[in-house]
Amino acid sequence: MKRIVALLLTCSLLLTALAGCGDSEKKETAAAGGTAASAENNAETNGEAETPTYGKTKLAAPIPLTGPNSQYGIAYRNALEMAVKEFNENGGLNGTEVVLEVLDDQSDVTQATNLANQLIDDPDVFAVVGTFGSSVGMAVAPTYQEGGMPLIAPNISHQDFPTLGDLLVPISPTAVIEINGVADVLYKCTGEGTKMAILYATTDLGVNVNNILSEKWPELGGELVYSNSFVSGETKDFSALLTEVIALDPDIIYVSGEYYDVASVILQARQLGVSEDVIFSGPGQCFTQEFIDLCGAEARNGVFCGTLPAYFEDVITTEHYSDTMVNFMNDYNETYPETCNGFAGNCYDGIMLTLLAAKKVGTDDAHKLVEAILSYEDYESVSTSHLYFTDYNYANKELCAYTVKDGKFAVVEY
Amino acid sequence: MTLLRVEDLTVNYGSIRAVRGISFEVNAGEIVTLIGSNGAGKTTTMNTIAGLKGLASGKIFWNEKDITSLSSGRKVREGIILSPEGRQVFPDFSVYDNLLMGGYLFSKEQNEETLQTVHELFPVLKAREKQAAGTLSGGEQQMLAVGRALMSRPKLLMLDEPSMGLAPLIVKEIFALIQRIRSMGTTILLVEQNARMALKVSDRAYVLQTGEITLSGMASDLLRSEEVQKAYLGM
Amino acid sequence: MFLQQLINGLALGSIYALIAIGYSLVFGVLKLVNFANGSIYMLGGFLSLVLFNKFQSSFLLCFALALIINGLVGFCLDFFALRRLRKTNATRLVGLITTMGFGTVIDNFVMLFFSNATVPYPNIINFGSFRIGNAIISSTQIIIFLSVVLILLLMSFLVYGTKIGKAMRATSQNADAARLMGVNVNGVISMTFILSAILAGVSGTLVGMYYQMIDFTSGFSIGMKTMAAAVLGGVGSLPGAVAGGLIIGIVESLGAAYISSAYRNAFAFIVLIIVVLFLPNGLFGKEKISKV
Repeated sequence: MKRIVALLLTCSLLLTALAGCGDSEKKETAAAGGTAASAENNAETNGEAETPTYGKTKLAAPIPLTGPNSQYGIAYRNALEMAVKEFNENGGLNGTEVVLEVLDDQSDVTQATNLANQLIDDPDVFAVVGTFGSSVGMAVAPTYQEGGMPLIAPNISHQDFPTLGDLLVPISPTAVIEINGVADVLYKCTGEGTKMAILYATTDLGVNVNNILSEKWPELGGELVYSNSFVSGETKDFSALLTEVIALDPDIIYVSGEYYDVASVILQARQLGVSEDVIFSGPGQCFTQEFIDLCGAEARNGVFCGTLPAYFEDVITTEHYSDTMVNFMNDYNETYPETCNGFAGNCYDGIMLTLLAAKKVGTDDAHKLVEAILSYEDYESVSTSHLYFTDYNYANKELCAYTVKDGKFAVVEY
Repeated sequence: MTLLRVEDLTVNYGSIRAVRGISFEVNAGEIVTLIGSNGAGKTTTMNTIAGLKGLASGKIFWNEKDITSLSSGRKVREGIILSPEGRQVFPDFSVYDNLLMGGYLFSKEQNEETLQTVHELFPVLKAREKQAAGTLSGGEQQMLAVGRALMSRPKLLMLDEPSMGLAPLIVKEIFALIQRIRSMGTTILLVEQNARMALKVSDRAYVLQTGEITLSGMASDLLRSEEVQKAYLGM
Repeated sequence: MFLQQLINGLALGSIYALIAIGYSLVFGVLKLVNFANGSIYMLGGFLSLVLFNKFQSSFLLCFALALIINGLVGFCLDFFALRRLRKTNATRLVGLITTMGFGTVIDNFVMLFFSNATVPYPNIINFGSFRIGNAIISSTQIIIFLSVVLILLLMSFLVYGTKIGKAMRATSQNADAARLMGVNVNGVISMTFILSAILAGVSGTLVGMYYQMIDFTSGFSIGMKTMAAAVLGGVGSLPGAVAGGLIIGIVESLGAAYISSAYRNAFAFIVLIIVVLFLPNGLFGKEKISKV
């Protein structure tokens, strides 16, 4: 009896494996066929306008709804739902509604890869908006690229991400672009000879930031006095590092990590008697109410830079920001219990741009869709004054810099 | 007067029937023995009476009161005290602390009183009062186990294999002490592999074989019985 | 500056010690590693905060209520799960995994019903800082250290100076024999879990105040290290747990500052391995005396 069961199991395993093989063959033929088809299309559009077709109507979003990054996943989900609702209310894909499918990848590479493999085989999905974070994103990007599925990633800033394929669209500028910009901003705010200490998380992003900043800062004319890493989320006690840092008397302490890492550093540095003149600096992840709640008073005198704005009433309504952004923030806050933040804004831009491009050129040609996204003109972004792409798929945005005054974010002119 | 009465007791370990519907009784002032070889079900019976093991069916009566479902703690309060197989002293406690554990349910005054009696019976326990129980010899541990049981002021003292692993001279000593304890008014239920010593010292006995009682009667009769002699007395 | 690092290490170590005591208490009586301890610690911290935010009245009252609820949670772990396993004579491994599962349930409960973000924690015991030479020591750190000492003394008194403590020690050595003495072993075990959960709640609250923030992963990340601390000191020994906690705190702090910050956790475990190689029962652990 046991042998029969074992035999049956082995057979079904074999069949599944063979089926998998069959599929990838199909995909390869499809991709090849696709390229041929779009070549034909291009030949044709020289003369007449193409009528977009909307055979596929589903947009999938693998994001961390549970697990340690769930707070970001929820922000994404809110933005996605808002965008799809608005798009469908405005006519959708010229009459056809878009269906949004949100999935939980728990920010876990294995889970995300499983979802990726599922989604590239889904005949109804025309684009994927997700994942959260570079670690997971870099791991699944090849799967989507090879599977012929456009991946629009709201906040993957790893500099190699755009190079992994022509179906990959990051909405965030790469870390290289961003950090170079941050270094410029910080240098403008401080000046020559400024001593900087860097504390960075051991993630791909953190390591990246440290590498770039450590090189750029001395190039600009500053001095790098200390650089050390920590494990984000696990290291809650920074006193050991900070004691060393404070002894070196830096002018700037730059922390590359999550908002709670930056907050912990600020609180613990103050407790260890750091000089009042020290400027704390951190990334866009800090532009949230949660950050202010954790260390608002203690974060005074800081300069925080990111590619996304701080969605606060008294910040967004200043002359630096467009009405589109103000309206987005108000709509979001009215609809959801969570407070609007940059993650939501980024995600909204990602999906809305995708939907608008899809409306324009149809949902059945992956490459066409991506090209349309990258070259879309006059898109009113909710997270920046101007979102555009260079070098095919490198995203560009202007940097936002804020300080914290009286427990609130205030724009820093630079 | 019947102190303890066991009726149709059946105890299982999973699918193994260790005790199969045995019945016996112990009267006040008696020394009763259950003899049997390894695996006969003697320890299982003792543990079940003491409340350490649950039974499958049957009843246990104490002074004709049904105590079948009573917890081990309540049974101790009734005065049913077991000195378990293998002694089971608290190895990290001193001899003194072990004895006091026996008096856990009693007051300080009561314990002081009982302790004196125990020290009289087992002078070695006074001599080694502060020593960690785990470092005592086998015979000393057995005395400690019995002494600890006495601290619980038993009405029925159950002894599971008190002679196990002990030198013959010590065994003699132990059995002499058992008689002394009975003479002080405590009823004793004994379980033993060493049939000869046990039968010599008991009033009545039962023979347990693979979970069933096959023989019973006056101890002196069983000593003389041919069956018992062949099976258990090595004759 | 070294003095400051030492103070940092002692402060961190005190936190570990607080949690390690809980492990030692349960292991001491039950010979079981309670993997849910870290989660119960985090839950206690959250409960104090949530109640305080909700009722906006005396923190002490909310704290006391939080400890009662925490104790109840500890009781439930034993009563509904572990006690039944004991009845069916399940292997120790099953109990271990059960506590793991219980911990996961608590983590996720907090994530779903309290918060999935890092939330601010008011530091009620902030009475300023003091300078000792070049170093700064905060009142919060002093209070935490004193709490460790106080709890150690209280628990030691309980275990070695009271009748119920004797019952705990007897149960630890031989639960069946303890039953035969009339000890309510199930009651003793329940009490141990309640006590351990209350201690965990105290730690969780103190640590929340110290770092001025708390999140639902707090317990998970600290679990392994504090277990190592308990083993280092000799599982089952209360002073051992404190010693282990302090040692690991100091080693981790100094290691992070002077050797490598990314591998700070490794230092804790390296120390553990070295100690256990030479002292298999930990620093204060007793050789098990067993003679048939």
